[in-house]
Amino acid sequence: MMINGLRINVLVCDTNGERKKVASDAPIALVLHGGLSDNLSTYYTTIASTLTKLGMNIILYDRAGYGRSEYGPGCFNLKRIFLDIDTILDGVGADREVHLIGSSFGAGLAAGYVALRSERAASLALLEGQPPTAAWRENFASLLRNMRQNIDDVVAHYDKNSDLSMKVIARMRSMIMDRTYLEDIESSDLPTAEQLSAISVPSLGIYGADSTHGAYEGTVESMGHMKNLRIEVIPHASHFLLYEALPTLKSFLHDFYSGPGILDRRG
Amino acid sequence: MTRTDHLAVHEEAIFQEVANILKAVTTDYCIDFPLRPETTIQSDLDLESFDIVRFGLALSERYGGKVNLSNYLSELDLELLVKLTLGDVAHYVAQQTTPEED
Repeated sequence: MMINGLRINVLVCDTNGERKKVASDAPIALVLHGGLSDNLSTYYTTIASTLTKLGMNIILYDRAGYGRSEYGPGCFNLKRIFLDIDTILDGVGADREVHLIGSSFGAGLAAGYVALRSERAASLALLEGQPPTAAWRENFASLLRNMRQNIDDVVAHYDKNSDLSMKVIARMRSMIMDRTYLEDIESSDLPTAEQLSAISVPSLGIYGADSTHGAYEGTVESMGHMKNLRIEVIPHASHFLLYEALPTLKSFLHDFYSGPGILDRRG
Repeated sequence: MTRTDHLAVHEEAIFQEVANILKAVTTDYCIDFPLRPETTIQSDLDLESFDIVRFGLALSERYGGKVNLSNYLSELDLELLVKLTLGDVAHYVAQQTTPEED
C-alpha cells in the first residue's frame, strides 16, 4: 500500500492465511509492533493465530521505516503514524470499530490512537506498554539520545549479550544514527491527559513482574481510574512477554476477547 | 511400499517443494549452498523475521489454509524457534497434507 509516497507493508490475515481486505462481518484487530528493530513478524509468530482463531481478521503492518516498509524523514512522528493508520484501515475496508493491540512502543501508539480516534476503537490491549504521556516521550527520547552518543558501546552490548543477529543490530544502528527517529519523537504532539483519561473502551494491560520499563506504573497513572481496565502481571517475566511468557499471554488475550461485550461490541 | 515408506517419500517430496518456495521468496538473499533438512532458518539462512512471514504466506498459498506457519511457530518455545530447520517446516507441512490429497 502506498501512503505519503512510501510503500507500506500491510498484511491482513484470518485463519486461512492472507486476505486482500477484511471480511464484512468479522471483528477486526490492528496490531502495532514495538520500536527500533521490531516489525510485523513479532505478531505473526506469536499471537496472530490466537486472534484469528477467535474469528478476528487481523491487520499487521510494518510502520514506515521498519521491516519491509520504506523510510522517509518524519515518518516516525506520531501524528504521521496515526494518519498512516487511518489510511490503512480505510484501505483494507475496516469500516467499523477496531480492536487495537500494541506491544512496548507500539502500545503507546495504540493507546494514543484510541485516545484521538475513539470512534474507530472497539478495545485496547497494551502488552508491556503504556499510554503516550509527556514522560513516556521524554523517556524514549532520552534513551535514543543516549544510544546515539554511545552507539559503539550499544552495538557491542547487543552483539555480546543478545540473540539479535548482526543484520538486526546493524538495522537498529541505522535507525538510531541515520534516520529521524529521535527528532520525530521529540517533535511529536501527544494526546492530552484529558484525552487519555477519557479512554472508555474495554482495555487490557499485560505486564511482566520483572520488567524495569515502567510501563505498568505509567498505565496505572494514566488509566488506573478506568472501570473497564483489566491489568494482569505475569510472574518471572520481563519486558519481553511475547517470548518469555507467550502461553500465559495468549491465555489472557483469549479470556479478554472472549468476555462479554468485546468481540460482539459491534457487528 | 509400506505406509511408513509412503509417508517418507511424501515428506521428501514436500521438502523439495518447501525448499523451492523458500528460494522463490528469498531471491534477494545470497543462498549459494544446497538447502538441506538440517539447514537452520536463523543461523544458516539468516532469514529476516519479516521474510519468515513471506515464507509462511507462500506456503499457505501453495497448500491452502491447513498449512499455517503462524499457527505452527506460535506453538514452539523460544529455543525450538531459534533452532528451527527447513526440515522441521517440511515435516509440519507434510503432517498437514496427506499423500492422497497432494
